Amino acid sequence: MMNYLQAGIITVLCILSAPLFDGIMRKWRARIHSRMGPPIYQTYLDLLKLFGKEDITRSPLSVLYISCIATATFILSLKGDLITFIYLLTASSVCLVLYSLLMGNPFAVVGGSREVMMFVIVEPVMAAAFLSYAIKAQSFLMSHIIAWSNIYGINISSIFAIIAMLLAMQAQMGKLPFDLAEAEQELVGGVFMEASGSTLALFKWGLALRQFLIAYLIAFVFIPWPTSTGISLFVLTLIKALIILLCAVTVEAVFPRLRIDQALGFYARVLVAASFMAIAFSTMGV
Amino acid sequence: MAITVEQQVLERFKDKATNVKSLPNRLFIDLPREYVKEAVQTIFNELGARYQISVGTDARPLHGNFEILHFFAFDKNNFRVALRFKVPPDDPKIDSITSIIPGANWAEREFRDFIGVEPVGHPDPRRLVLPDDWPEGVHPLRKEVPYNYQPPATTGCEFKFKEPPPGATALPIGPFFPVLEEPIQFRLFIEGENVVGADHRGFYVHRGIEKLGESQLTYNQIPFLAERICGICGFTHSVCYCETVEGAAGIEVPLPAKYVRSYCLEMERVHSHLLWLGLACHILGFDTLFMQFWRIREPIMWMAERITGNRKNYGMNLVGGTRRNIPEEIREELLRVIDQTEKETLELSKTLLNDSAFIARTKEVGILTPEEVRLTGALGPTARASGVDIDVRRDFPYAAYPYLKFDVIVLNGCDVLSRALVRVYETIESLKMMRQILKEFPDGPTMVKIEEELPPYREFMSATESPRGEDFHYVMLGENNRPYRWKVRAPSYMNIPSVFWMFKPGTTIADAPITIGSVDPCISCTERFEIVDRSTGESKFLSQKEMYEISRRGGRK
Repeated sequence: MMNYLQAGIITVLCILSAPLFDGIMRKWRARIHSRMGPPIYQTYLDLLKLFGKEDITRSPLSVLYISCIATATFILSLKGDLITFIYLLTASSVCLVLYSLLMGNPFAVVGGSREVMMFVIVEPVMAAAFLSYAIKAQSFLMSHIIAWSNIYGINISSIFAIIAMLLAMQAQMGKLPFDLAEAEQELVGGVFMEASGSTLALFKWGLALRQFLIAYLIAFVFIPWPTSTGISLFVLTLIKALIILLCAVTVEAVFPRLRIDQALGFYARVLVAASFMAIAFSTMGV
Repeated sequence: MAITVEQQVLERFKDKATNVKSLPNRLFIDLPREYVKEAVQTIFNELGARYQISVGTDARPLHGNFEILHFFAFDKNNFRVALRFKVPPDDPKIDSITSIIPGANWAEREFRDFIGVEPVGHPDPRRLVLPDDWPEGVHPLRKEVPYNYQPPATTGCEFKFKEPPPGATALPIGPFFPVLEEPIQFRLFIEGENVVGADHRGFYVHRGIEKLGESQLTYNQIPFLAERICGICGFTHSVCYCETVEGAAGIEVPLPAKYVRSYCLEMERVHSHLLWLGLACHILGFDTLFMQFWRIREPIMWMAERITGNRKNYGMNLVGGTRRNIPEEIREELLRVIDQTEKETLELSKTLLNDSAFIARTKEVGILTPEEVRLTGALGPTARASGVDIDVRRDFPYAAYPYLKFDVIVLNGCDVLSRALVRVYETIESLKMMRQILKEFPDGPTMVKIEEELPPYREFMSATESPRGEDFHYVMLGENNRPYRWKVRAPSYMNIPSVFWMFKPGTTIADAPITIGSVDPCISCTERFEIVDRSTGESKFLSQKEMYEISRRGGRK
């Protein structure tokens, strides 16, 4: 019971602090651009503003979207099952795709089809990285995986898995050079084009949470060192997650957007060169 | 002695010509209108002239007819030819030349809209410039139509876009697209991610500047209006207008004024190219370099303010010279800014061109072959990136360019990457020219005084090399110290239609914005806000003060 309570508190904290991390990222990006940038609490203001605006499409899919990601956060803080975690992340993408396809706006439809193409190739990259850890720990439970890493430390397959994960992260977060589904300059916001008011606010909040969640996942499960417990573990993981997020923003700032064929080609290579290698090495036990 | 182009042209047309007017490096030939296709075929395909523009003039008060002029340039020979066809008002028709020169498409639709002369056999006879609810039969550039004529508001009129091919969807790029915030619509027809066709509607906020110049303003007021044609390269328009009027009236401008003009033109080119490089990065989602290019552009804007008092709209030109000189005491300071900008441009361009993702996104995208450049009449960096060696500064020297040393940058890539490279190298050339101008600046006054009215009904055409290509003006002087006909052809007028030729099979949606952006389209959206109450149909314009107040108040009611 205590376990669930603790995980619940962490989840709520994550949901509430996701916009703050988004604000920090915006500030960091602005500094790279030689801009002043907005204050770090700007994302809260944006969300507040959007909740007050007229909602034209009124889609429950945005609620479903953020709920999927929130539940995934809960699973992660519970150190639960990896498969469920991936399921929930994919489900959130599906919500987004469904939403964009239902709108019938050509920009949204193109954005939706790009989102599908991207997760069809990026999801396996991530899943394979999970799988290589699961093979070593003989379990899909995150608690077992973390425990295994704490005991046996880093090895060759973990390095490949971490590389695959970090590369998949950029697309999973919907960041440049892979923000193809949104691609403001090409598709005017693509999947989000028809969203407004609270629908858009929930999507934006969900996306901020998703970005934070991916970083948190890498910091918590894939790079669990240095080991710690209790509050200090939580703070340490947050700091690691923040560093990962800042790396993602830096990558975003120094690359132009790729075309969909170039992006798919990139992840196909990552899949072969990093993810499959991670699995191969972990079956060999190294 | 080899025969000159002038003799060649005269030789071809001597049987048909009803009148020939020879000006320095310019020739006006009057021909019967039945002969138009044959004449254009001869000059465009056999003599190899470059098509510039077609102009329609309502010359009924002068000789009872409309005039259609087709302008051609011989770039290698510093020679321009105008073919004039008189069209009687009771049968306002002339054969369309778009089948021979695709680049004449817009120009012919424009004179149909404005003068009411029908191009017979035009492949796309839709309206180009006039709004969809504009009444039939009212042609604004006819002399009897007042400049402030407002047709009654109507509803239910709609522009007929082309139907997408079967199985394709229409995707509107604009009006006001995130990376083309201007009143123009490119309608892409897409299958999945692939572009299979396109259509266009523009001129949503056409301001009728030509009409205003012909009916309301005097010679020396027009330079200030001409400068407001464009919010980026306005100075080139005011120089071009002044050079045209000075040429028509035979006014020789003092040398320092020529140097000031060239300096400001090159300053404008530097800021325009840096702006474009930034925007190109932005279109590709490369916002870091976008911001950095705009950062290094800022000292150039400061420089403009230091010399002219304004960041844009310099207000320097008058017929007869320039209103200000470049003060001697600031020249050292300006040289330092030039050095700094040159250094930063080189560094930043190097970063850009070493970026493999940038190369991947621009190489072999938006191909325009040299032959297509000839057919569409594409200009400036768009033409030069396709290996077409034209530059007004060298081919038809004006202002101080005969005294300046510079290279014309020509590349053979034919793609977006080459267009970016041409602009990078041109920026460096421009900075070199600015440095040379400051070092060799001649002494003396910058204005000649013009006492009496300019002689009416003389005509002249000139061009300047704007950042986007050849800017062309044609002026026929008139009575009351104002032009009888003033025609402006900005380079984007030729470059934007060439975009449709760049949508080759295999172009994707992701390539479309950068392809459109690669010609640096400039739609001139400086129209003031007009607020229309839809329930009463009343409209009002906002004054500058009201505009400021609204902007400062922000979104609050």
